[in-house]
Amino acid sequence: MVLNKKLVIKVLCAVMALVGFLMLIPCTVSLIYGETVSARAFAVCAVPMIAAGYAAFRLTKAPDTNALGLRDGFFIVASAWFVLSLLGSLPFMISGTIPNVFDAFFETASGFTTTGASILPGVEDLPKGMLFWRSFTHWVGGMGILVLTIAILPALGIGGQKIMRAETTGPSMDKMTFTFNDTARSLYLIYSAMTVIEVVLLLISGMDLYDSLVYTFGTVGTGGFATKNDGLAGYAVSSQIIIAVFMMLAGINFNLYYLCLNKKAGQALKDPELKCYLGITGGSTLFIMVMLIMSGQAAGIFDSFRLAYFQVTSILTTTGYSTFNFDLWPLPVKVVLMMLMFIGGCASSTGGGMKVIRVMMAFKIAWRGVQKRIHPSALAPVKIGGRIVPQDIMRSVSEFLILYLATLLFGTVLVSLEKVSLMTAFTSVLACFSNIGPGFEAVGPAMNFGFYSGATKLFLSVLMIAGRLELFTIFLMFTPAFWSKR
Amino acid sequence: MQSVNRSNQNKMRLVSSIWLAACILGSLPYLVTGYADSPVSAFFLSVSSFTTTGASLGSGLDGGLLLYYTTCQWLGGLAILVFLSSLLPSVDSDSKSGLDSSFAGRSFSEVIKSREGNMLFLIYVSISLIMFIVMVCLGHVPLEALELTLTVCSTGGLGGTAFSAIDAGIKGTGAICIASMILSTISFTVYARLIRRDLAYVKKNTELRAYACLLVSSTLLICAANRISGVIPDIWQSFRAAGFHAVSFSSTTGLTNGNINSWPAFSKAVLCMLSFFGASSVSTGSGIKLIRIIIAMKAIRRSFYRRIHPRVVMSLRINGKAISDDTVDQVMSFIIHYALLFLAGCFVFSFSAPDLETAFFSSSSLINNLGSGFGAVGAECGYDFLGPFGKLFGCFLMLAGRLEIYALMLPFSRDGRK
Repeated sequence: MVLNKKLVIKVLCAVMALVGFLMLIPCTVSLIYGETVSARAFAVCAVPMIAAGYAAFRLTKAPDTNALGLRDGFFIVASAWFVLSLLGSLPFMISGTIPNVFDAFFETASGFTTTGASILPGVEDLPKGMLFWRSFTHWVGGMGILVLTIAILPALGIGGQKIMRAETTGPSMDKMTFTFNDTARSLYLIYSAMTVIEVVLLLISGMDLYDSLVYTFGTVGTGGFATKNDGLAGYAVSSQIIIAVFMMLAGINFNLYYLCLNKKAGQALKDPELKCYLGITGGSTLFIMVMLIMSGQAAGIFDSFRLAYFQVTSILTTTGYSTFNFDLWPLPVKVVLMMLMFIGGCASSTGGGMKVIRVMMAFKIAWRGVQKRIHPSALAPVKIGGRIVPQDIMRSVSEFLILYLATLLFGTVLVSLEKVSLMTAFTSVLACFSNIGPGFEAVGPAMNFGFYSGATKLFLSVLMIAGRLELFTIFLMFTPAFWSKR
Repeated sequence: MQSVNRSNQNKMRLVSSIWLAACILGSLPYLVTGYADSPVSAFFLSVSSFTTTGASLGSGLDGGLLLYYTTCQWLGGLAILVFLSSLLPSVDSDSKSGLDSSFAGRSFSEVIKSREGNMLFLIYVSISLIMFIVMVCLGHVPLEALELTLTVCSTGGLGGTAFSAIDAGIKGTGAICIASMILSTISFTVYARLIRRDLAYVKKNTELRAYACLLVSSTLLICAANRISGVIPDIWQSFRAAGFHAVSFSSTTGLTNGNINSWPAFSKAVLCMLSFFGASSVSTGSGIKLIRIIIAMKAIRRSFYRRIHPRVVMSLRINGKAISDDTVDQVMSFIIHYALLFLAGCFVFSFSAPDLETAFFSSSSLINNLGSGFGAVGAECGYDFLGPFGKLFGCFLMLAGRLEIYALMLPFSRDGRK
């Protein structure tokens, strides 16, 4: 295999130094709250990482070429995410908050991939600095660490298109018309603006600054780490609604916001995926509302709306916050929530899952099969929003969908080796793979992943990263073709 | 082209109406004898027998009804062989792609008159006859032997009657059943080729090899899991139970022996996977079929390769023959369609099922024409809890799974003449 090794090393060093810088933020938080142990842990990690990253970056000779091959792109992204999760877990281990290496890796991978699955039985007695770092990883991972690296370090001078494609989510229907560095920067600009607005709104609704920051990170990154054991149940209704709305906004394709900024709001509103996304949100909220009222689990129409809307946006965007233990809800509601887990957010959003656009195509592909069977000679192109989807995109979508299902099945079989029920195994895999967080039964919203063995935790962490990077980037590393000389 | 379209449509229309008519008429005996309490229940039983599902409503069938039930299954199995392999092939090209094109593109009457059509029929009948004779020789009462033969050769299932109640404790019954189930799950084109002494074909048949690997490995895995978890402490017994159920689930027969509900989650997961894609094409088994999984796996492998070498053109090969992209597309869309229907089933059944596991297994068991499952639809429990609407949807799933979805989707499709 011919990798552009110098370039790979340079990028990885940049990522390492960046993580070091980012750790200074929770370090400050720890100092503010007077938690010297955590502050020291962050400092012990951050300083060497910045120094080593900078030194190695400088010492590595300039690569012969800045050309980034296909393999380089995949390799950089895949390795960066593993390095990131490993480095990010160091403060947890050093401070003794999460001493076990598998636990710490799981927790950090869950943070960066915006999954929000936790191995901690209770979080309320954890140091504030650690909890802040845990949630901050959501914010960093939501938009992609490499996109961030490239956005603030244009000096790397590498064409980021390939990396961008490997790290952002969803099939791209049209070529980006704007230049890459612009895109990365404006995406982060929109992302940051959203963050600031939500923090301000949450402050107004009566949350303190710390909590509003933590929940905002979890919301806009569609992560799901909380600071309370019962999630958001204890907060004011207004805060819950604000969080629900922002979860929904974070699940929308960020390129649409970019269009809006460029005064093309009309075009953005016509987006078929957006319509479908809003339709799914509305439809399932209505269904769950009715079911909750009928089963007597909600006090009134507003109450059931609040519960249903919050849970639908939380699961559909793969955030995983909860205001109620939804594992106790009626079975049809649970099945609907499970289907939302499959669907996930829109393409190019911070959400995980299969993505709305792919699910839309799944239905069209299935239906096309029927048409082709009856009229074998018919062309029957798949259309989304009146536009014909190119054949190769359609094929890659169906390959993605089947690989997704196959991984779920295979993962379930592996996880079922633990002494758990079949549904626990299945929802554990689904919750990690779709980057949601909580599942049902033994990994329900009131439970945690702590009881799994180290090997299973490692496996689930890999699944989280694979799910976040849309399968192929990670799975490619395990194919002989990737490492062969040709 | 117009005429081709019309004939496809007509074929499918014929298939689905014959099946529906048979299922409706076939439901009468359950109503008349009073076994089923409502027409919907009777229809459910009838569909369950003709689609070789073998799902029950709780109480076991007795005497004459059981014989009737299993006879319907046998006829259903026969119909599937004839329909799917002679009537549908020009339509249903993907399940046979690269396997055997000897039936493709011929009309129904031609195939019935042809050697191959007769051969399928003869193979089916002879497997059944041999099994029946062996069973009688083993000392079974002819009635029991007949019932067991009919249900096993069509990969049906006993519909609520316990296997232990019918095997009469005679040694070797399990082994004979395993053998017959395996024989009915292997693609019948393999036998056709064997009769023609085309050994080379049989040796390099991808689907056959995959089936053998799948069966052996899953048996060993289940055996190990059961042994380690302590459900069945004796290794030989554990091996036998694992083998029996692996065969039974992969052939979508759904015969169960003993309480498999208490097995560890791993064994259940493997069995469930087997029921989805254990059976081969052109056999009486149901489900997605192994050949489709093989094609999908190859397509995914190719897509990995394409990501590193975007300009490389590769065609997929099955049994050494290249298959067209159109066929691959059909296979992929079939699997996606299957998954969507399965999820729809989970949703519909969740209204009446007691827990998530039951909703899941009701759906997978009905769409795969398996019959038994885990949770509240385990071995000798039935589907009575589904309620009238759930039962009707169950019938839809069973027929969709059995007729490979498309024939049943026809009424929902617009006429293609535009």
